[in-house]
Amino acid sequence: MFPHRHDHERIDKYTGPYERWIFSQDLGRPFAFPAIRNGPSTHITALMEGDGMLADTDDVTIRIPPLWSERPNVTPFVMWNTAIDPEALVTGEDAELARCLHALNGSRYRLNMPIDPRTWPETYAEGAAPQGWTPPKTKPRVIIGVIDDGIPFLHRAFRDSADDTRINLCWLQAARANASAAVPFGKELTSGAINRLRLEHGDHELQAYRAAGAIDRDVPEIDTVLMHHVTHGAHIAGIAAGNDPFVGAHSLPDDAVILAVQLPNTIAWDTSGFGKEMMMLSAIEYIFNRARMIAQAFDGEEIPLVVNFSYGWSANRHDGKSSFERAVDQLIVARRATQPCTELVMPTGNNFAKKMHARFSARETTEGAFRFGWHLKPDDRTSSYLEIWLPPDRDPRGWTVTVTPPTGSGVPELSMPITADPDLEDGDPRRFVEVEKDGANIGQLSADKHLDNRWRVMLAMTPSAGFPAIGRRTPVGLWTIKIDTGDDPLPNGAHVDIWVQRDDDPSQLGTGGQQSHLVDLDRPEPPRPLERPALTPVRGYGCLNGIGTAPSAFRVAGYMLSTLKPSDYSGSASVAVNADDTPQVDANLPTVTATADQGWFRPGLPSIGTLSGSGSRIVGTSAAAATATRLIALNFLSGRPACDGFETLYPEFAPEARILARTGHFRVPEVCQQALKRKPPFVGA
Amino acid sequence: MAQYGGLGGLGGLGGLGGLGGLGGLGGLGGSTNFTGLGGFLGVEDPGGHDPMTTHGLQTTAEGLRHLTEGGTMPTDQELGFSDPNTLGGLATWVRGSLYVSEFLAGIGSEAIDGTPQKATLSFDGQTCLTLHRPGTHLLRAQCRFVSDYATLRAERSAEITSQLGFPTPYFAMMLGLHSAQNTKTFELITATQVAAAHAAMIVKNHLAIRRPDQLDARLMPMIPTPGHGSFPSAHATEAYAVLTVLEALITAWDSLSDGPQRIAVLRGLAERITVNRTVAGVHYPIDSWAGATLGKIVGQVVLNRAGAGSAIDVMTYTPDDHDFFDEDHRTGNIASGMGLTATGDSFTLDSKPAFSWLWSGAVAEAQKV
Repeated sequence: MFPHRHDHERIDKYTGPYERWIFSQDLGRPFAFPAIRNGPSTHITALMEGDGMLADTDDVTIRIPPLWSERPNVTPFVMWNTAIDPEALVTGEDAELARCLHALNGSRYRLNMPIDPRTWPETYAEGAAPQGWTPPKTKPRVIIGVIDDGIPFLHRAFRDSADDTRINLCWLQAARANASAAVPFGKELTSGAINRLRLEHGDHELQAYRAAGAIDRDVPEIDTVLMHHVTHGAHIAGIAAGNDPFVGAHSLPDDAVILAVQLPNTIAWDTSGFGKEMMMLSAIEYIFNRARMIAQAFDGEEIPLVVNFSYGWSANRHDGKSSFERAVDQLIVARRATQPCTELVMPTGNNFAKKMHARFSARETTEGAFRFGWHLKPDDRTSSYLEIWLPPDRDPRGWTVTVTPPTGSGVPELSMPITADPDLEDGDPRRFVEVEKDGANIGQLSADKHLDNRWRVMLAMTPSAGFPAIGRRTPVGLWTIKIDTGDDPLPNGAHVDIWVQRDDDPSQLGTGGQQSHLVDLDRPEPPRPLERPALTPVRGYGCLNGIGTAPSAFRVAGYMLSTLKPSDYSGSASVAVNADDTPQVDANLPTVTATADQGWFRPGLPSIGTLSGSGSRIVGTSAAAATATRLIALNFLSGRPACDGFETLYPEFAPEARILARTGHFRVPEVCQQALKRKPPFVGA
Repeated sequence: MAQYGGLGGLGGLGGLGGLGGLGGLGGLGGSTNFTGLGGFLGVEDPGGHDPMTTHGLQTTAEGLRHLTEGGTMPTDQELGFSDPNTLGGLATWVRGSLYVSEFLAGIGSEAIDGTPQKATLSFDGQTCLTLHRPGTHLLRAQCRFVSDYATLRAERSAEITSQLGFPTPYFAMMLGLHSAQNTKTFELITATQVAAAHAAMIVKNHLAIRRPDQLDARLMPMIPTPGHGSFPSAHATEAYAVLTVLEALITAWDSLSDGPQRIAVLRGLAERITVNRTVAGVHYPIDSWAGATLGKIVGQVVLNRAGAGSAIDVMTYTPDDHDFFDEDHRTGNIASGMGLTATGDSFTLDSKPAFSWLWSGAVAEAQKV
């Protein structure tokens, strides 16, 4: 139940479905990631859409991170709302946030995740160079950006031939702040600081990380991730930018300089996909900004840059038009105007086989309606999310969505028209309905016209595990969702796309999430072994990283070295079926496919562990992406184009759509352990 | 001269000093571990010696008997007549047998035909529990939960297979029990589990409910289908009986400053052990409801027999198509909406010597923290 509030205290007056769900104590907040759940959110990140000035108000202090863009169409910022009492309970906080948005003149702002007040430096030296910063020894021929979690910046893999660090700057977004910083939150480590840490602590890297605040038990967004044997960031950075026998790749020279950003743990923890765009966009703007700062210390000409961003979510609109993707695309295109060697490398994701996507076109509707199942697993301690995206630039007329709970659950069926609620005037057209069990809220069904150009239906459900103190719990089992198109059927060639949000725990942060999945209610037979999956409604084609669909993003799929076939889990472009029944890749083709697995019995790729001298293996398209990053960097170093030396996969014929969707047109050669063989170093063809 | 005498030991002892069900952690070796009834059999019973030792003992006896000649007759000192103080000198398995005798004396059950069919359990002539027999339509509906929970099999495998016998190590983990410090506590836990198992089998035998995999081909459980009826769940009975007794023991110890957290985690453990059986594919959630209810009653009976119990509430359970959660089971108004009701009657039972002796020994093992 969402209690009645005054207009300007209703968070849904200003916000979309995720914010309404995540910030309301009566809805999803008790199950949200700790940064939000434990509230209150005195310091909070956000995005501003469109042009305009961001100005402080009486209660709110605003900071904008180092930007490269002069006039971004999406501005990341962070604010300190001094009107919120840090000691207060979180129950009324959605009202507080609504008031804050009201004061800022609201609907162009989208709230993101809160930050720990201890990461807020007293003084933000905006626009200044970081204190004590020195440029690299010579002008870099390439800069490799790494954005990830748990980055082991002291690792031997990131040193040059003089044993100094090749990392020129490392921004720990969630570390405790110093009194003054050139970043609005967190801590920025210069190469000097990193070298000094090594001088002071020698081989005791864990001790050094603790001293630097990179291991900090009391700050949940940093926590003790670097104490694990391996972190995602260690493995990926090792392949993308490291020189180490455990990677075994051909060396990067001293003037392959690294700029690193470590994201807060919530980015890995949270299953909603919500609230991270500000951090992610800030990371990319920051790397571009600092790369320019380095260039200006020499001759001012922008330096070739390849940024590895091995992160992803499964839901989202997948058309390149989310705020993050538009912003990132604008950055890349603008930078390429003066420095064509600019790439943002992202993985296609690992969900191909997890039944997290479905597509319905006119041919799959029966009497104007289509239905599918959503299976929620037991003992899921995090909320589950489902997104249904209608064709873009189209207002449905008379469409309804009906949610039928599992048999015997005691939850009534509910229906909702996919139209705007006239009471919610500002912002995107939208409507909300609560899902209830015995009078207590267990979910939110919403329709919203995302960014005012594409309708989305979203279903958010509370966990299925019991939380006795909260007493709200979603019934386990098969939920059925039906979309009825009424008198306004899907035109030929149009389709509705459904994605389930990621709900696993890849970094072993103990989230207790259980991945839900979609069910084809017609129960088609599964494909035979070695047979390519059919284009049934629930399908892997189109299961793709939901933040990697900007047109200029360099998407990397994964293949297995021993078979040259796509890895079973590797995400894929979406496939549409033409009027003449031929399948065709319709969006988000991977740019390349790279090794993700060395063999059936050697899954994944080898790389470094957290500490110097340790090794690890990680499985996934993240690692494949990192191999592409490294080769792109080597190409840029020698003045060659990004894909030079990559094998053209289909020089003579057009492959079937389902093959092309999973590979793109180029294959990236092996990277790991190549230097251990007696072969010449990587050169273009 | 006697040749190779002795029995060579009973099977499944796992050695002396801490590997049997009572001496410490882990169940007994061999098949007795998996029936739920093997907790005591053979513990501290050396059986005979090996053949060579037996032979050697006899040759030594012949060689040294002359040294016993010519002394005075020793005085006879008697052991106490029907004296609880002698219990400490008994082999553990003998006490195990006494606990079983004390628990089962006065147990009664009745099978009542009709619509619905019912089974009742009583102690000293007083009915404590009535279970209504679930019909096949309800069992078929419940199969969907067994199917849904199967998605947790991979991650719960280690728990499920190590909980096939008595899951004593799991309870020990929650309370930091030590085989040297808590011998009586371990004995109390095992005695409770054995009592619960006997009670569950009596009721299962009347109700005779098929296992989920016997009704639904899709379920394919990951452990062998047990050789007894599904409703109620013996694992649930045992887990909730132990929970009930340990809650009382923690209160009696009054020595744990984090007592409330320990009790909360023990409740979570009882639920988890119970639900793991549904994950494994061998129980419906209604079995867990019935077992948790029966287990709580068994725990209260054990406490009464130990002279430490309070009134036992008389319960009736009419199974209905719901999932099992501990918070629902222990919250009166939610539970009654799901078929579990208290009749309003309650009664106490007389204490008995072996259980009382055991209880005071366990209470004396409080850690001072």
